[in-house]
Amino acid sequence: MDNTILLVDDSATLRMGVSSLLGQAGYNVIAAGDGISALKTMNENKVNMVITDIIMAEMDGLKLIEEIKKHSEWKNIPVIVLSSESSTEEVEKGRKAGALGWIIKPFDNDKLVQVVRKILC
Amino acid sequence: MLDEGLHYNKYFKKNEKHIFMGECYTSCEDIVITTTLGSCVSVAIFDTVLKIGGMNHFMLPEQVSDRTNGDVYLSDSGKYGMQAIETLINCLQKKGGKRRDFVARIFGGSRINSFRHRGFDVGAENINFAFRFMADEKIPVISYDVYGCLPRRVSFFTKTSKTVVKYIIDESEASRIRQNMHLYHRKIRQQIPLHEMPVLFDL
Repeated sequence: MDNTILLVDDSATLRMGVSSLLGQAGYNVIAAGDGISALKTMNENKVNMVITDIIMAEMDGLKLIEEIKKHSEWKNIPVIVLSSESSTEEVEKGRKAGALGWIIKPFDNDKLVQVVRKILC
Repeated sequence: MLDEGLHYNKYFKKNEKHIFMGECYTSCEDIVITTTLGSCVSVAIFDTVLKIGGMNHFMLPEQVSDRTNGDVYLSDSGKYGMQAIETLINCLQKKGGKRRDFVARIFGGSRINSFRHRGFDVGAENINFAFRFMADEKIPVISYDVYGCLPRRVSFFTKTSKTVVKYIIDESEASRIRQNMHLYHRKIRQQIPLHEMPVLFDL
C-alpha cells in the first residue's frame, strides 16, 4: 500500500504524538530527527509523503525540501511542512522550495489527518 | 538605552527581563530573566557549550496525565504545553543552540490555595508534564524547585545557568499572584483550541 509517511522533526514528543495519530488513522509512519537522517531514510525506504519541521539542527526543513525536489526519484513525493513558524515570509519560502502545504503548530489532529488523506487518496 | 523591556537590577548588578504568564525569553547576553510563579511552571534551558539560555512561564489548560504514550501530546492541552517548551527550544536553536547541549531546570507548580480545576491539581499537572516532556526529549533536568504551597520568584542567569529562587511570603503579593493565576487559567481554557487552518498551495 502507498501509505508510508516520513515524519521529520527534532522533537521526540512531536514525533511520538504525530506517529500515534497517523498510525491510528491507518498510515505507516517512519520518523527521522533531522534532514540528514530523513534523506538516509528515503534512500532505504519507499516513502509516499513527507511531513517536516523547519527548525532542525542538522539540515533544516527548507534545505530538506530542496534536496527532495532535486532528486529525480523523489521530486514528485508530496511534502508538507508542520512548523511553529507562521510568518508569511517563511511560508512563502516553503512554497518556493516545493512544499505542497504548511500546517502551523499547534495543529488540529483532524485537520492534519484530513490533509494527509487528501494528498494520499 | 536598554532593549526589549530590559531594566537594570541593582541587586544582581545585571540587566533583567521579567516574563509573565505565557511568555518566553532567550538571550545570548549576560542578563537575568525573572518571573513570579504560583501553580504555573517555568522551564529554564541552558546551552552548556554556547552559554546561552532562556526561560518560559506556562500552565496547562486541562488535565493530560490520564493519557498514555504519544496521546499526551495529542490533546489540546498537551499541545499547548508542548508548544510553550518548543517555542523556548526553537528560540535557542535560532541563536545557534543545539539540543544535545541543552540542560534544563524546572520551577513552580505550587499548590496554592488548593488551586484545582475539575478535580485535578493544576500545579502537580504542570510539574508532571514538564518533567515528562524533558524525559521524552532527553534533555537532562539538572535542578528543580517544585511543589510546596508558596509562590516563588525565579531569577535565571543566562550566561551561567545559575538560578535564585525566593519564596513569596508577603500575603498581599501572594494574593495578587493567585488572582492573576486564576484569570490566566480561565483565559487559556477559553482560548484553546488555537489551531490555524492548514495552507495548501496547489491542491
